Amino acid sequence: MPPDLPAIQCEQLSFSYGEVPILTNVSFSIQKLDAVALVGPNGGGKSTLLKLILGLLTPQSGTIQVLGTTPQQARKKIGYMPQYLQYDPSFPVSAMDVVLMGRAGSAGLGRYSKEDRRIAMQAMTELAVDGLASRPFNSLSGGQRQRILIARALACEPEILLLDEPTANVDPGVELQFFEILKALANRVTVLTVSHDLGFVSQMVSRVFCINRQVKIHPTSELTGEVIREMYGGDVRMVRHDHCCSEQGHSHADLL
Amino acid sequence: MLTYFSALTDPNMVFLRYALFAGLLAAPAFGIIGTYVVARRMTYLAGAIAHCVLGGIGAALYCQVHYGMAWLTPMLGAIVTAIAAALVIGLVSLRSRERVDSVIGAIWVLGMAAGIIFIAKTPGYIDPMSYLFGNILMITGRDLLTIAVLDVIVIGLGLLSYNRMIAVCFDEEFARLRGIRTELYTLLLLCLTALTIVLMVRVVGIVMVIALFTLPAATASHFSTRIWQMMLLATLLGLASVAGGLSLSYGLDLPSGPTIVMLAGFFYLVVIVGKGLKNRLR
Repeated sequence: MPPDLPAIQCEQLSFSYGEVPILTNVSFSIQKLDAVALVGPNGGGKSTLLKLILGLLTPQSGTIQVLGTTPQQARKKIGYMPQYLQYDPSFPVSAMDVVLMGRAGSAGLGRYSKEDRRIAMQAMTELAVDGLASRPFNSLSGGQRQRILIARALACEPEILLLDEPTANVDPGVELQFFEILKALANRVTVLTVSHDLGFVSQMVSRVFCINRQVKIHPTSELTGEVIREMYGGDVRMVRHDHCCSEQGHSHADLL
Repeated sequence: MLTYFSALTDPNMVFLRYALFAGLLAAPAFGIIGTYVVARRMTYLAGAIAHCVLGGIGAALYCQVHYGMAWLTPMLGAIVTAIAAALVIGLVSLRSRERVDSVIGAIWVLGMAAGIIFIAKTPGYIDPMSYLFGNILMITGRDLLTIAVLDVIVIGLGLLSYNRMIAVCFDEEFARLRGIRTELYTLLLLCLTALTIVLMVRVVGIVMVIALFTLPAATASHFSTRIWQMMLLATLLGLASVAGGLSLSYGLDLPSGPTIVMLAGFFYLVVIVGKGLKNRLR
């Protein structure tokens, strides 16, 4: 892939479930090694956008290109961590088994090679959960499980990492450690993080996409400190930020 | 007990030996496929496939008598119908916009109804009971050979697809994103389920065959933290149920299929009651 090709490019993308429009005329482009956070209200279209990037959904109009090709073809180069795992809590697997699933599509009949195991172990080491490898997955805490799922996404050896609410079940104490890990990852792969918590993500991403049917893009360099305080009255929870995506338009559009 | 062992070697009691062989051959297949089915929560689909098999058995008997198709044995009819039912049920649950449980319920009873009608319209005395609840007297040496061949296919494919099957059962969406053809694996699992059902139809019958799927695997799940452990334990429990059930049924003069199933159910009850008591005492 030529280096100038964007990792993800959307043009005039629209998607609706039946009559309900979820995303309308969304255009953006994300360069390789860019780190982007997607924020916005529930039902605003964040998870839908991830599913469009993964090719699990097809847009009604507009185009989406991932790594210069269709989402379906680029899929194997994307590591995905879903927000909810519809897993059966009595399913007997170890943490290592779950991480290895990132390698399940690799070759032949799906036997795991030594190389697969090495990559899975390395991903777990990177997320500081290598000590949990042989533990049953259902005996782990929410935060530990979350990290195992990120390790699983990382075991895909992705060029793009899609994380849907990676801090949802994480204790505040562990959050900082988490943040360091994600920041290190952002040096290697293009990272898209869905989050409610701009205070958390704004330190590790370069841009924030506000998604509520439409996408507004903010560079975080101008979103920190005084600016946030000024714009949101000092309340970082304002990131949900209905005001930014309101019908009236965009009061701080000059930031773009 | 001693009489049971001497009966096993008695040349006049060859059926008892056949039943034991059939059960012992089938136990690993039930352990492996049953574990997938329980982990994937597909026992309802397996039940539907099992009941459809009666349609195939009935049709085979009917064709044998009316069209002189001697080669179309009930076993062959069962295999063909089981695979067909697995594919239809699989495609319906993957594709249909109908309510899936309604469609599967319909397939379930239509298969059975067709079987009963075929059997009723076949001259000569055929007891549907022996197909519904099993009859070890009907097992022939040829059946045993068929069972052995199916067994090798089921166990082979079941173990070869181990990693991908687990990935699909655990998180289908993620597996699909890794380029695994999840629909194909779901259909494969249903077909393997179908063949496994056929293995034991002779011994325990189509109504109770589902018990051998779910009970050993469900019992094993209480002691397993890995899928392969669950498979191994379910296989051992299956072997114990078959061997113990046959010997009990011989010693106490009970029908063998229900005795095997009762023993498998007894293991399960002991485990869940035991676990419940243990939690209460804590």
